[in-house]
Formats: sequence, C-alpha cells, structure tokens
Amino acid sequence: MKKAFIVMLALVLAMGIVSSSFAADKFPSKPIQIICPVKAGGDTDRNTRALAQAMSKVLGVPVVVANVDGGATVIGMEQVLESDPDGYTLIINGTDIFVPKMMGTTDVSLDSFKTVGIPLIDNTTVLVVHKDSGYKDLPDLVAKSAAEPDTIEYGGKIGATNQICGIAMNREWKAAMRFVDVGNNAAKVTALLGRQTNVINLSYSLALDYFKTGEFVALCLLGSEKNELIPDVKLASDYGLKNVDFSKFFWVGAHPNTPDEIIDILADAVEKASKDPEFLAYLKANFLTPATMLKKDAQDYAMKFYADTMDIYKEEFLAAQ
Amino acid sequence: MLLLEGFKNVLSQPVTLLLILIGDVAGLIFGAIPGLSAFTALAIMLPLTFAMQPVMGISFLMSVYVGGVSGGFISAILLGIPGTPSSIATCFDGHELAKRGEAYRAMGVALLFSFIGGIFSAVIMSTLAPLIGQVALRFSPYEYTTVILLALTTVSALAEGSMVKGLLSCLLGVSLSFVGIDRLSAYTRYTFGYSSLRSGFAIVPLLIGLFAVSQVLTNASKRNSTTIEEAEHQIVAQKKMRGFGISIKEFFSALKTSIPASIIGLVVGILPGIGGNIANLMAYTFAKKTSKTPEEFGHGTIHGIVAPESANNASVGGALIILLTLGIPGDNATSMIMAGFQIHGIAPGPLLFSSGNTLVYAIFAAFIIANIIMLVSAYFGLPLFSKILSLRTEILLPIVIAFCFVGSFSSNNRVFEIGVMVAFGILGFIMKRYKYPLAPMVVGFILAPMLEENLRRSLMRSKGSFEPFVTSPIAVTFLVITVAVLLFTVYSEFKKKD
Amino acid sequence: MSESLKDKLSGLVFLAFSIFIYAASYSIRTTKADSLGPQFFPRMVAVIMGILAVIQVVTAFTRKDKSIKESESKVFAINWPLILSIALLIAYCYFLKEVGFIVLTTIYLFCQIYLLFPKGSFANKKLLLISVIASLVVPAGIYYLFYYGFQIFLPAGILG
Repeated sequence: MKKAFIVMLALVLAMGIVSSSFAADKFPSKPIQIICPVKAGGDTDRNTRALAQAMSKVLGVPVVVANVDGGATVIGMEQVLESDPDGYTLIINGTDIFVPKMMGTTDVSLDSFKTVGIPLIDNTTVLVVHKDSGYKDLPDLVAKSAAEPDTIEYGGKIGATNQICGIAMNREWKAAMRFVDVGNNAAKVTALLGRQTNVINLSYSLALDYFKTGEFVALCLLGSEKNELIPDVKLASDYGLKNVDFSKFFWVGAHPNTPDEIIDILADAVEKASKDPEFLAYLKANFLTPATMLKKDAQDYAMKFYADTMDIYKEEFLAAQ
Repeated sequence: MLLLEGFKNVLSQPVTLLLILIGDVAGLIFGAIPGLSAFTALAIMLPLTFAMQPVMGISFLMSVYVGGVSGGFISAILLGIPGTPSSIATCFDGHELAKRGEAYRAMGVALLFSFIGGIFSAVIMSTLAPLIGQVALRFSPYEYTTVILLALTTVSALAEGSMVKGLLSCLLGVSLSFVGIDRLSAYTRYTFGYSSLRSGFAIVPLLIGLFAVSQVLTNASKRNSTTIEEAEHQIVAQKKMRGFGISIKEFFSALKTSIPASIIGLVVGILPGIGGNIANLMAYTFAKKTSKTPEEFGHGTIHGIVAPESANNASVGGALIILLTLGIPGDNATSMIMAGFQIHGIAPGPLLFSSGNTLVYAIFAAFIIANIIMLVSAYFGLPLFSKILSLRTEILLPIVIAFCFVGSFSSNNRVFEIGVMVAFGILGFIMKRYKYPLAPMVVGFILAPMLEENLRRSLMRSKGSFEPFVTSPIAVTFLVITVAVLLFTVYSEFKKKD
Repeated sequence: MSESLKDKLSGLVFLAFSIFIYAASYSIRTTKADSLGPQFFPRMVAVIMGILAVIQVVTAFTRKDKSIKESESKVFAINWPLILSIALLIAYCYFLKEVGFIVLTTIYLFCQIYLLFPKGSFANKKLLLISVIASLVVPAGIYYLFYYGFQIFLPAGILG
C-alpha cells in the first residue's frame, strides 16, 4: 500500500519536473487566454472570437477565448486581476465596463488594467420602433413623448448602459419616455415584435431581418458619426437634435503589472490583427468600424468617452435605481 | 413538399450523413458526462463547422444538439446522477431499474422515447412553426409570471414523502437563487462582501454537487460497515436483453404516456428560458398524477422514464421553433446554434420562411435525420453503455467526480465553481441523510429567479397594479389551471391521509 | 439518531436559516424601480420557510416514533472515510490553482478510490493495479483532451 503511494508520488513529481523545464523566455511561448466576461453566444463573445483568431495568426500561438460570466462583467475582470501579470491572460470589455463602478458596487474599472488597445468600434446602436407604432421619424417620437410624458415606453436592461441612454435621450431631446426593464437583447427584440414595448435601442445587426422586412424602423443612429455601412439611418443631428452617443468601443486590457515589453508585443499584435483582411471582412459583415488605437491613446479615448457620454448622467442614473 | 426538398438537400452529399453520425455520437458523449451538456458540446464543436458548406455545418450542429440533449439519460440511469437539469426526472425510475439489473431496458426505453419526442416535435415544427412563433410573441411578463407559477405549482407537487420537507427543500433552492446580482436593480444581494459570489451560484456545479458529490460521500460513509465480500456482491448482474427491452404491448401503453409528455415538452420548450430544464419534471408529475398506478413511480416503472425523455427531446423542437421563426434564442444551447447559423449566412428570423428559402427545410430534415441516426447509433451503443456498470463503483464514481471537476470548471472557467460544487455536495449529503428530497431544491433554484424577475417586471410596467394579470386572457387561463392543480394536489393529499 | 429527532433538528436548522434570511434582507440596498423591490421575495420566502419549519418541528414532536427506541444506537463513532473524503474534496479546491489539475486529480482519484473500497481490498493486486492505472491515466487524459481537443485550459499549476 505504502509502496504504491510512493511510486505514484514519484511519478507525479517526475512529470512536474520534466514539463516545467520546457518553459521558454520568449513571449509568447504558450497559448494566450482572452477572458470574455459575458456568456458565449452574444455579440461581445462573437467579436472576441474574431479578434482572437486574428491575433493568433500574428502571434503564432493559439489565442483562446474563455467565457467567465457574472456580476455585470466584474467576475471576469477580477479573474484577470488575480492571474499572473505575464500577459498570458487578457481581458476584453466594452462600455459596460464603467457601470459597476458607477453604481458603487466595485472599484474595478477600465483604469484598473493596462490598456492593450481598441481594435474596433461598434457604431451600430440604433433607436428602434415597430412600424405599426406610427412614429414617422425621430422628431415625431420626441414631440409625442413630450406631449404625453411617461406614456411612451423605452424598454431596456436595468442597470446597464441602455438605461443611461434613456436618461440621455430624455435630457438632451427634452423627451419624456418611461424606462421599463425588458431584459437582454433577445428579450428586447421579442418585446418590440410583440408590441409590448414602444422603443428600444439595439445593435443594427441583431435585427437585420426586421429592418429588411420593414417591420422595425430605425429612427436614428445613437452615435456621433455616421456609419457608412448603414447609410439609410440618420443621426440625431440630422434632425437638429443633439447626438446621443451610445456607440460601443471594444477594449482589450491586461493585468496592471504586466511588463511594458509584453504590452508592446500584445499591442503590436492587436494592431496587426485589426488590419487583417479576414478580420476586416468580419467587421464589414457586422457593420462594425475598424479602429487601431493602442495603449495610452486607447485608454485616453475610453476615459474621455466615459466622461462625455456617461459620467454626466451619473446622478440621474443612480437616482433612478 | 418543401420538406422533401430539404431531405434531398441534406442527402445529396453522403458525407453529411457521416457528419450527422459523428455529431450525434459526440453530442451523446458530452450529454452523458455529468457537468457537460449540449451547450458545452455546441460551443466546442462550433468552430469545426466554419470550413463546412452551410447544409453540412447546420446538419452537424443539429446532430450535436440532438445527441447532447439525449445523452443525459445515460448517466441518469447508470449512475443516478443527472448531468443536466433536463434529466433529473429520468433518475427517479431509471436508476431504480439499473439497480435491479435492468439498465439495458431502461436505456432502451429512454432512447426510443427520446426519439419519439424528437420526431413529434419535428413534425409539429415543420408544419406549424410560423403559427406557433406568433403565439409566443403574445407572451409579456404578465403571461410569463403566470406560466412560471403554474410550473412551480405543478412540480412542487412532485415531492416524495413528506410534503413539508419537499417544500422546505424547494424554498432552500429559492433562497440560494437570491445570491448575486438582483436582476431588477443591478445591486448585489446576499453576497456578504465576497466578490466571487457576485455571479451567484451556477446551475451546473449546484446540480452535480447535489447529486454526484453527495453520492461519493454517501458511499464513503458506508465504507466501515461494508466487508470486502459485501462490496463484491454489490455489483448487480445486468440482464442481457435485445431490442429496446420492451414488448410491443408495453410500447403501446408507454406511447399513451409519451404523447401528453411530448406536448408538455413542446409547449414549455417554446417559452424561452424555461424549456428543457423544467419540461421533464412537469411531464413526470403529469404522468404520475394521471397514472392508474401512481405508486409504481419512483420504484422503477418504464413510464417514469418515458415521460421525461419524451418531454426533454420535444422541448428541443419547441426551442428551435422560436429560434427559426423569430430569431430569438431561448437558452444557451440555442444561442450557440444561432451563432452557427449566422456563420453560415443564415439569419434565423421571419425572412427565413417568407423568402421561400429551401434551407429552412433542410434544417428540419437535418433535425429529423439526426434523430433517426441518433436512435440507430445509440442502439448499438446500448450494450456498451451497460458495460460501464461492470466497472467497480469504487473506481467508477471517483472518475465521474474527476469529470465533474472539469464540468464545473468549464461551466464558467474558474476554480470557484469547483468549490461551489463541493459545498453543494456536502449539503446534498446532509439533506439525503435527513430525508429531504433534492429535486425540489433544484426546481426552486431554477424557477424562482424567473418568477421574481417577471413579477417585478410586470409591476414595473403596470406601475404597481395587478390588474393586467386578470385582463390578459392567457394569464387568466394559466392562473385558473394553477389554482386547479393546487386544489387537486391538496385534495389528493387529504385522500391519501384517510 | 431516530427519525423524529432528525426531523426536529433539521426543522430547527431551517427555522434558524429563515430568520437569517430575513435578518440579512435588511442589508439589501433598496431600490424604487419596481414596487416590490429586491427585499420582497427574500422576506416572503423567509416567512413561508419559517412557518413550514415550525410545522415540521411540531409534527415531529406530536408524532409517535414508530422506530424502536434507538435500535441502531451504536456508540458514536467518528466516520473517518466520510470525514477524509470531505477533507480531500476541500483540499482539492484549495490547492487546485497552485498544484494544477493533472497532479492534484491523480492524487485525488487514488485517495478517493482507496477511501471507497472496504478496508483491505487492495490486498487484491488486480484491484490495486486498476486503481493506480485509472488514477494516472484519467487526469492526464482529460487534461490533454480538453487542452488540444477543445481548447479549454484547466489549471496547469506546477506543470505550467
């Protein structure tokens, strides 16, 4: 009995010694993991996989996506903060990264990490109504909502950026839509289809079919620049209203103690990946805008975006909870 | 006739058949391992389809899905451990049969009626899909609240033995679901400052902890009172059987259980998020309550396998209907299927039908063929699966736990989930010792968050008024059925006492 | 322990748990987005659970215990295989990240198999051999299957 234990232990230790002697000093020498802090299957997950594939081509090692869901992306972010600062565990996130800190439930936010880069911007958030709703265009909706405050329902997910978007639209356009929790993107589409809610915001590609059939009408693009891939959808400024920008950047970060040389290699990989033809084709197919912002530039962009489009509504957002 | 086109489309390349076979078998293996599921299988296999032609890729994904949902019965019957919530009810009678040496028969029945449930939903799907899609759109939070209430009432009548214990177990499950982020305020509840708890408890580690880990602990606790000879005699000689292990007469009697179960599965499967997880338990309860011999349930009747297995495969069809007609994924597994469709340039949604795209019928055809091939290939696997039981439990069970570690870990890619699994293993062990049933706890855990979310959402929309619950015809219907079920349960409880 | 004592005891635990849930609901941050708020459900569940727990305890007291008085009244003995199995599982979670999946699962498997077999079973050399082979092959097999086959990285630990 004892002998068996000793033999087993010896074997196990031997395996340990043999394999750890393979460790190399060049980065990257083993697969890199990107933590996607939401469930598999959504648009964030899809973007992460496209980027991982392109980065893998550049770096010559597998780049693998691991979904770590929960806590409004906080669980995934904390996992990266707890990992070794060796650049083998990366995190991706979008504008939602700011919400938990805004609500005061965590200290973790974008500046808890070293920014690697922003390889794409999702400037496809559109304000959508059902064709039977009778709202001709954006000014019509705004006017009707102002005439009858709190009757037009804006459906979204509570405690998420689309609730902030509702606050922003009401304030900037002097509208008076009532925010109601509907759920995630799939639930928003269902609710609008079933005419259970009046207005939603949505990524254009998530309801492409319904835009084609004309069942859904995109009243405006919630961005500050026109998306050439969706030429028919106007900006709020085209109607003389202030643009409410709820485009989403797609950000890649690493542990804050990651050495700068490794960040450089990773940033370089993100840059090359963002110019990869296959990646670009993917972006085009999903109406996404390519970007190549790296390190400090990317972080500054993200922080400015937060200050300009989200932070100014913080008080009202917290009061609505 | 369009369906014929679909078959032609799928069968035009024989290699597709081979892919369906591979997908079925792979799905079956994933489904059979506790902690892994159809979703895991799909997530892993999805990239493999990138290089395939659309029809092939979709056929492959369909077969993985069908195999994955069906595979759950294997571990449920052989080990008494449900790998996914959708096979909880299969354990009740399936494992009893295995303990009697009738594992082959139990699996044969499970396989056959998985097939029948699948084909039933396929037939409905290919004829009524667009219509059903429209009905599903009528469901707002008011209707959801009432239908979940109905599910909860139906299933809580399930408790064996003491009603009070069953309800306490259910409420324990409900209270565990409070941990984490409150979905209607985005603030955390019951996390006690532990950041890891923000995500709440995940269903996979909870389920396999309760059922698999507790089993290891139970067996370990009996070690000192068992002699070597006794342990050797615990290996049940499995009866050799042929066919599916049932006679023609038994088949037709089982079919009577299967049809209502399939309908329940299909209807519940249509409702996003509720689907297969609960359909099997509702069908089991229904079969038991309407049976002439309810006392046989829980002691190894084939009807106790027929009902949940028909229901969970039928719920696949329900979920697919919503995905295909509305482009809305109801659960994790269907969201992976949807991602697969999109990769192949197919956008599930209304246009899929109205544009006269023959591809949609290829999807139906692939679903039907995947069910047929699953039946055939798993049939030849039956003797092989029964063989697993000839391995000593003392070795088999720890190996199962090793897979459970992987299943828990990969459910959210963190070690914390394994800790959750172990914690629930200990809890499950204690509850079994004190004769509290475990299934109601899982049901409470799954359904309560949906009930709370939809009820609060309803009241948010109605500005606090309960009126819409009685003005919506669908909601009223469900409320009436709920009350009827409740009265029936109380009545039969009193009758039992007399 | 007799059945009725078990029922009383578990009933009391549930009662305590329901009080705990109710008490802890006070620390939930209240929100006004919906009329029920995040505390309503936990409190409702706590109240119902408390009532059921009381019923459980009361019926256990009033019920005549059919089982013959403590027929199984063995001297209270510590169940080592059970305690060691629990300890093994907890240690597994605790050390997994540092030690890694392959090594730790190998150790776990062998120890757990040992703890399940009745004492002295390993005198049977064939059983011992199968157990050792299973403990060595299964963890490594799973790890590499997931690593190369499915690109799921289990904790590598000291082998990383």
